[in-house]
Amino acid sequence: MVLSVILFSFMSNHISNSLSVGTEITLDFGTEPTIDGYIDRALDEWNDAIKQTIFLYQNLSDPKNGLEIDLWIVQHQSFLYIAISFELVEHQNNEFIGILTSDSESLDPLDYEDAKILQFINISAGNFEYRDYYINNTEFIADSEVHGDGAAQLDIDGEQITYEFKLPVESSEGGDEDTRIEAGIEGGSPFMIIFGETQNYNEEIVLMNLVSLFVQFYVNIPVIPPEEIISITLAVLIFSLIGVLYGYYIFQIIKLKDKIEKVRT
Amino acid sequence: MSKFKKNQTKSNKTIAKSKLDESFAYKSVVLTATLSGIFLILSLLFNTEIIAIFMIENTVWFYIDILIKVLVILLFFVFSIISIGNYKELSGKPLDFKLILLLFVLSIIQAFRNSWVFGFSFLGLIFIIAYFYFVQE
Repeated sequence: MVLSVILFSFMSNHISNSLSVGTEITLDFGTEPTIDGYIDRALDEWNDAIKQTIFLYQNLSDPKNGLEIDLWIVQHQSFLYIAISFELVEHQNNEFIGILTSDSESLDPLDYEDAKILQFINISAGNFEYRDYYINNTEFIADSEVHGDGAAQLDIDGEQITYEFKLPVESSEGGDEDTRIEAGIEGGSPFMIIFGETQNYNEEIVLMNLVSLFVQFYVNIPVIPPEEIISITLAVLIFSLIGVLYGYYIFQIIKLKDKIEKVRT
Repeated sequence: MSKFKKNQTKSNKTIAKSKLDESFAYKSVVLTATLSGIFLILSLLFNTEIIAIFMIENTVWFYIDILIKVLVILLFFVFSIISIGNYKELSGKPLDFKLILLLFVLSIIQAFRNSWVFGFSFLGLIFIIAYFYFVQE
């Protein structure tokens, strides 16, 4: 029922018969975009990101009539930034986009282990929530601590929508409740993008597709500020000077002992 | 004859006492110089922040950290001035203000990385110099 509403509400040019399932993307580092649900082209935001057009399907085993989405992905330091934008004639009040992660790839979204979801509560009012779940036996269970960030915004014409995510890479902060997104995995880390229109995730995921991301290792080279360099240099100079004077004084003490002994004899 | 003998004994005693005083003063110079050296090394470790005394961002530990750094500088100054004072006494020269000023500068610049330590060390050094001055008077 929901699917039919969506499919009929698509403009014909947004529906494709493309049959490609799964996309492999090798990430690159770039500037950090603002997570506000808006791609600011005036500021060249997301310009460093890798842009791909992919399709979300109802059934990945039989991919047809996909929803065309624009996908931007960029890595900045230890975070992954993902933007998803698409156009629908009519958006539902409880629309959502989710990113599922797992250690192993699967065509079934319920086989994944972790879900970051941008859930609209009231799309016309622009109310949304960024949610962090772990999936246990097909159940979406809210994490005790939310990791990552997200924002979504519906365009003024009410058709174009943008979802933006910020996900930590190589982080174990989420413990057992989060999948650790590993860098440098051969063949890429498996991600699944899901789309739906209700908050019933284990039953109402309408469209999906797979994306394999080759995440880069982030090497943090600490930059020493100039004032710190000056301070260290001063410390070396000051203590070297005191050390030399102290050494000279000790030498004088030794000489004094010799003098005293000479005077005594 | 007996008078001469008596004076010689007295003189021997004076020399022996003088030798004992010199030896004691010299030992004091060495001991205080060693202690000032130890506090100089501690100051190098703490005041240049090679070693962070407390990693916890807490008000109480913040003041304890400052107190330790200030004490290390003041003790360096105290032992140095005692050592140099005794050294000067042994070599028969007075401890002049130029040397005290040099020691003051060498002590206070150790606190250049932290304005709190600098401020309290400055006050502490002034107090110690004033104390020594009035005790001497």
